[in-house]
This record gives sequence, structure tokens and C-alpha cells, in this order.
Amino acid sequence: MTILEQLLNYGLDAAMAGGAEYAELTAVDIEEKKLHMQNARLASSGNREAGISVRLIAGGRWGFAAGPAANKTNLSRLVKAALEGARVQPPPVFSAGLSTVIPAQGSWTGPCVRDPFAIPDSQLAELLRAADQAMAIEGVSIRQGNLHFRREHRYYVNSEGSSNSQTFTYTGGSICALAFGQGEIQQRSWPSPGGSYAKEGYEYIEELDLPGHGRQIAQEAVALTKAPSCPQEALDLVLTGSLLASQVHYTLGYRLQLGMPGAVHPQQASRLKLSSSAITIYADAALTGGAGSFGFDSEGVKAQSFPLLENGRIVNFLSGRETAAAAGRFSGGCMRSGCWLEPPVPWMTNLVIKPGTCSLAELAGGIERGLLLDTPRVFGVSPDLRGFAAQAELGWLIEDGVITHMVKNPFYRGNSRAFWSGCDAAAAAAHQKNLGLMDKGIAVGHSIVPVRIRGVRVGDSR
Amino acid sequence: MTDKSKLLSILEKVLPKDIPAEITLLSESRQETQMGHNHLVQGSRQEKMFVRVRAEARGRVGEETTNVLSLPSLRQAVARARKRAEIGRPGPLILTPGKGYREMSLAPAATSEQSPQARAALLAPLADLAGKANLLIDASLWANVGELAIVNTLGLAAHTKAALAEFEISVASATGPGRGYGYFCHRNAEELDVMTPFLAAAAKCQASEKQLPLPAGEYTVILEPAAVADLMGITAKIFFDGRAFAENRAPFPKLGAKLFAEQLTIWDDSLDPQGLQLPFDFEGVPKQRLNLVNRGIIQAVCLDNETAAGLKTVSSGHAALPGTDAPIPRHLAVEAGNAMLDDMIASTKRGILVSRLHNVSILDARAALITGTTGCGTLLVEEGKLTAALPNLRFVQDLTLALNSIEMTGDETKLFGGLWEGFLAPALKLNRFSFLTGNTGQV
Repeated sequence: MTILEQLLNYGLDAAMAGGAEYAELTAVDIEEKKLHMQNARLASSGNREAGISVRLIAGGRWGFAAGPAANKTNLSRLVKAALEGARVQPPPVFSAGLSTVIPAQGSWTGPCVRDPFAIPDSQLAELLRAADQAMAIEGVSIRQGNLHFRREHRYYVNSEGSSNSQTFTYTGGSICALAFGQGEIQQRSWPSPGGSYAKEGYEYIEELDLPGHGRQIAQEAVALTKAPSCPQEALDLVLTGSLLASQVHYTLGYRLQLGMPGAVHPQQASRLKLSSSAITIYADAALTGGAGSFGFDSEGVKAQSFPLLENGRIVNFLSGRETAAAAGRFSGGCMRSGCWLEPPVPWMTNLVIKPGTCSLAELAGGIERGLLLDTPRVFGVSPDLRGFAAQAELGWLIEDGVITHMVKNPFYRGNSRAFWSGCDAAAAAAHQKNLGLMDKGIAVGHSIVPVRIRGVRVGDSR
Repeated sequence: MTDKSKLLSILEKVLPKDIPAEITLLSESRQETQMGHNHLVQGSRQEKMFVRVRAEARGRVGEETTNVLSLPSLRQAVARARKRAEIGRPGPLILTPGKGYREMSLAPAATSEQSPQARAALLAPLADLAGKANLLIDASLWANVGELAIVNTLGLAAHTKAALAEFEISVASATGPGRGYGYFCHRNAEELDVMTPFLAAAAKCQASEKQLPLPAGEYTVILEPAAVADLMGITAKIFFDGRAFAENRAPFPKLGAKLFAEQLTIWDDSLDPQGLQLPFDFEGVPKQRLNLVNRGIIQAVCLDNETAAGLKTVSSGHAALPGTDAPIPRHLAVEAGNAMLDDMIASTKRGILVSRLHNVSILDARAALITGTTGCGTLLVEEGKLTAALPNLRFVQDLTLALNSIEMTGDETKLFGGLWEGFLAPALKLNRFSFLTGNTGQV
């Protein structure tokens, strides 16, 4: 048993001796490296951190404490704080309850073919420099490139006999070109403005091919400053890339995080279609390389794979043990936290859209007048999560099934269910892409195929 | 928290002697007692430690962070920062000279020692009242305590502690569309007032029993102080970020331009006792008042050491919190006017009262174009009276235009904050604010 495992067991014993009915402890050890280049100017930073979180139920209430505990004294203080937090007065009306799980022990290591921490910084800098040079064309004022690597060792124990150790390697990257027009900034990013992530090694950065996309996005950013505005009318859309990932994430995924604000209530699920029959989505926490993959969730429940939406109908939820118990279900193994300092919540893992049968050309070919949209510039949801608004970085106008020219500032919004009810086709598996985004510090994977949405009111945001 | 001299001596001990370097330590403890739907649901405590080392070696700057405060760990962080400098940004690392700053007492013991039981006791009466009034409340009480220490090779040794007690509540009618929001913060937990924000939010809930859709268009809006603070957050990023200005991403080419209404005067002042004070910024530069907008004319942008050097001037004392990026105002104050909120409503023929802005994003910084929604209570004003609740409304707005259409300014400012920042915001009545069609679930 390692020193850290001994420390966790010490904390577990202290929590139970202090009167907890249930307790779980997680220790993390993190190494990070970030490189950022702007206009050929490189900045480099690193981070090391370690900490322990204590989550427990005492007197029917949750208590949580987390801190950089490196010894028994500090850990005892955290356990005491968690117990105090749980034992606030008056007595609980509803006691916290957890769904039954079979205690699981084991270890899990995410895939990492090329260890990014073993790649010389000079090689990483050279990659960003190549991408920067590719974007250096007349009209581009700001060129940015980012690389982010994070290795996390995680150890977990709970009072029901579950224990595990996991090692994740997160890898993310992006490039962005900004062109200044008359009183405007046009932006093009690859593969998304905030970067795309995978639980893989440096091979994911090679797959993203940042230098190979630099010239194209730079040219598009400049062209956008002279492009016509997006027409204001109801158009058919083909959504793809990181815009589609955001659309799925914020307007479908958020609604299925059981017990979270704005999520669909299980009692409504049988009556509610979140989209047309063209959409089937799986949650797959075991997807190889998926940004949201793991061996065990933050409650020690094994990674699972299950359908969430079948032909638009809700068939399951993203749940943890408490929210599952309240709904009379078993945990979906979806408890996650963005940072070890935060208590876990039911969250998306990897969402996989079931491919359809169309080619991308057939999706566009079935459109008389429409837009192909790829990358989000802004994506926002309403406080109740039922509505959304999005602006893509650029749009390609489709006329009589053929892409004719680019338009700028394409903006659309709507009620999420109404929007998805207009989906009539998903592209075939040959068009499948895996993207990962960080939302509130939690990495979520999206395996997407382009989809077609009919009759969406769009316009120029100006 | 640790002893000041002991902490500074630990940091100074690991500071390299042969190269320019700086070490910043930030520790925070956050205790929360949370209420959901009128019931206490969870108590939590989070202890965060953050140490940043910046070092210049062979003309380049490297940066490394750690959360382990021990001599071996700090020495490793210094060594890694030095190594990282090999491929880091071009120097020099511009350091703040070790000159004086004003000592402040910002961490009352009542806040750091507040117990979860004390917080629960503050929330309990609200739950009783809410239940009787058929209201549902979600609320949080926080006791935040922090410590900031900065040392550098020019002899700087700056240190301060801070504490902040915060209360935030959202109130919803259990039967109707009514919503309300309240917030209060104070350095001293004993001064925390939870009842006034609750009662104001509850009253707003009860003032709106029916909900109407809203056609798209430009409306007069009355932004309550919380909504103004939200708007000022995005205003700070678009107009007062010195780096954006230096890179021509700001909506104005030079200072001195009249951009906003005559009634608008904005400054940043972390020495103002009315706000949440802080003696120095995150590079140790002593704080001073900075006038940003004077009667609608933009006067200044915020600078840190590096941005200032690029513009051949000196820092204005706005180095960002480690982990964030741009120099922006964190102690922003909007000058109060002479109108009461009731006067603003009474003088409005048709308009919208907004409690908060939600999810505000920049569509185009150069065009000062933003989008977001209203939240936590949006009410229709007709003939000087609140007549109906509105759904959350999506807006797409040219911020320059909006802030150029100020008709009235509230006569009192309210404080919104965090451990290291605080905004003082009055209510504002603006004549030009564009909303898209507002139906429930379609924002």
C-alpha cells in the first residue's frame, strides 16, 4: 500500500469514527504543461498540484471538504470540516440516499501512445511556430496557437469497499487567426476556439494537424472581413464540427444530467421527445480516447455505455448514485468534477451520435437554400436551459444543393426541442469525428456526424 | 493562514539570487452552506493554495505554479520556471520595485471563524418565511478567507489578508412565473444582512403573477444594480482591458474619445472604503484610483507591468489574478446619480425591469457587440407600473450604443464582490436595448 493510499484509509477511518454514515475520499496528483504562441511570441507555463477531497453523509446530509492535504493533521482537519458541514441544524427533512452498487476495485490507465511530457519543449515550440507561420498572411492581425497537456493520477476509496487508482493523460490544442475589418474582428479557429481535447497522448496533437490547417483558417478569417452578411431568413442548416459538438452539449446533454438545474425530470421523460427520430445518442464513458473517458467515476462506479436518446426519445439519464436513487434507478456512473476542489455532479461523459446513412454531399444536396456551419464563435443557453443562441465563425451558403459562397456573422437561436425536431438526417459513419471540450473544467467527448436541421431562422448578429 | 513574516521569509528563501524572479502566493479558503428549495442541502469547505514563480533566464521568461507550500516543492517550482524560460516568452520580466503600499486590515475574525451552524442559523428564518409565502428559495452563504504574498528580486515583499462573507439568493414563486434575486457581501460576517435581499427578491416574485411574451424590438430598460454589475463585467473586458487596447481589439483607437452618455463616470479604486479594498495588485504594484470614463469620455485603460512597458508607460496597478490573463479593472465603480428606482419605473411609459444578466458573451469586441439573456426576474413596465412578468429575454446589443443612451442613474450604489474584487453599481435606465422575441423557452 502506498503512502497516499494509507493516508486515504486513515481519512476514511476518521470520517466513519466521526459518525459519518458514508464516506469517500479522493486524492489527486496533477502535472500540467501549457504553451501559448501569439504572433510568433511563445509563452510557456507548468503546474504541479496535489490534494485530497472528503465527501461524506452524516446525519442524512452531505458534507464536503477539499484541500492540499499532504499529511494526517491536514487531512483530519478536512474530515472535521466535512462532518461539520454535514451536521448543520435543523435536522434534515430528506436524508441523502445512494443507489446500490457492487463495490468495485481496480485500476485504469487512459491511452497514451506518445507521452507529451517526454516530448522536448523545443519540438512543441516548433509545431506552434509552424502553425504560426502558416497563418502569417496579409490581413491577419493576431495569430494564436495553444497546446495543453495534463496528467492526473487519481486514487479513490469509499466506506462500502470500493477503491481504485486511475491515470489520465489529457491532450488539447487549437489555433486561431483574427482579421480586423472595418469596425469588426473576424475570427477563425481550428478545431474550436477553446481547443479540442482527448484522453490520449501527443498523437492527438499530430491528428489535429495544427500547421496543416493554419493557412486555410487564416485565409478564411481575411475573406470574412469582405464577405456578405448572413441573410436573414429561415434556412436549412448542415451542422458539423465543433459547432455541432456545442449544440449537442448545451442543448441535449445538459437536459439529461439527472437532478441538475434545467435537466428533464424523469417523470416527464416518457412524454417528452427532445428531438426528431433522426437522432440517437449514446453515453459512452469507455470510448477509447474520448475526452470524457475513465475507468471509474467520482463515486467509484465503473464506466458504462448506454443509450440516452433513441430516435429522439429519452431512454436514460446521466446520473450519479444519489440522483439515480431518487429516480428509482441504478447509477449511470456519470459523477464528475472539474477540479478536485469541487464536489462531483452528474455530468456528460462522451456523447456519441449514432451515424445515419447520408454522405455530407447528400445532406447538402437535399437543401434548396441553407447554410453549412462548423465552428462556434459564441454559444449561450438560457437560464432554464430550454433556449439557446449561437453564432458560428463563418457560414457557407448552400443554394440548390451546392455550396456557393461564405457569409459572415451567422447567428441563430431557438427553443432547443423545436430546433432538434427539425433534424431530418445524420451523416454516415465515414464522417464521424471525435472532439472534446472543457466545460466548467470537465472534459467531455463528442463523437459527432454532421446533421441536417430544417427551417431555422438565421441572420447576421448585427 | 500563516504568520506574515514567516510566510514572506519562506518565499524569500527560495527566491533565486542570480536572475530576476518573482513569487506570488495566493491561498483561499471558502466555506459554503447551501440551501436548495427551502432545505439545507450541503455544507462544504474548499482550501486552495496557489504559488506562481516567474523567472527570467537568458532573456526569456518562464512560469511555473504549484499548490504545495514546502521548501522542496517551492525550490522545484523555481527550478522548473528557470528551465521553462528556455522556451518562454521574450523578456525582460518587469518587476515591481519594493516600494511601500498601504497596510490594510481586511480580514475580520468574525468571517474566518464563522461556523457552519452560524450560517445555517442565518438561513433558517428565510426558509420559514419562504414556505409561508409559497416561495421556493435557493441560497448560499459563503465565508471566504484569503492571503496574498508577493516577493521579487527587486526587494518587494508585499502581503495582505482578506475575508469576505457573501450571501446570494434566488427566489421563485411556487405557483407563478415570479422570480427574484438578491445579493449582499461584507468583509465582516457579523454585518451580513440576509433579510433585506430576501425580502426585496420575494416582493419582486409576488409582483408578477402573470407572464407575457414580448415582441422583438428596442426597449427602455431599467437595470437593477446587480444587472449593471453584470454589464460592467463585460464592459471592463471590452473597453478597459489594456492588452486589448494595445492589440487594437478595443472598439476605440485612442483615449479621449466621447463614447458614452454624459451621465456616465466610471473609475477603478481599490482604496475606497465603500468598496472591497486591496492595497496592491498581483504584481505588488500599490493601488491607486484610476479614472476610466469621465462624463462619457474614455480616459484610461488598465495596465500591468508588461502591457505598460509595451505602451512605454507604467503599470496602473491592474495585474490580473494568477491564472487569469488580461489587466482589467477589478474594483470598478459607477458614479451614482439622483434617481430612485421607483422614479425610474414611474417615469417609464413602456419598458423592462431587469434583475440580472445571464451568460453575457462578446460577439465582436471591436464592434462592442454582446449577447446574453436576462435572468432571475424580468418585469414589464407599463405607464409607470410593473404589470407582468416576462420570460428570460435574449438580447443582442451594441454596448457603446446602450451606454450612450443613459436617461437616469440610481442614487445609491450596491456592492458586488469576491475576495479580491468588488464592483459598486447603481441602477441605470437606458433608452436603447434590443431584445429578440421573448417567449418562454426561446431565448
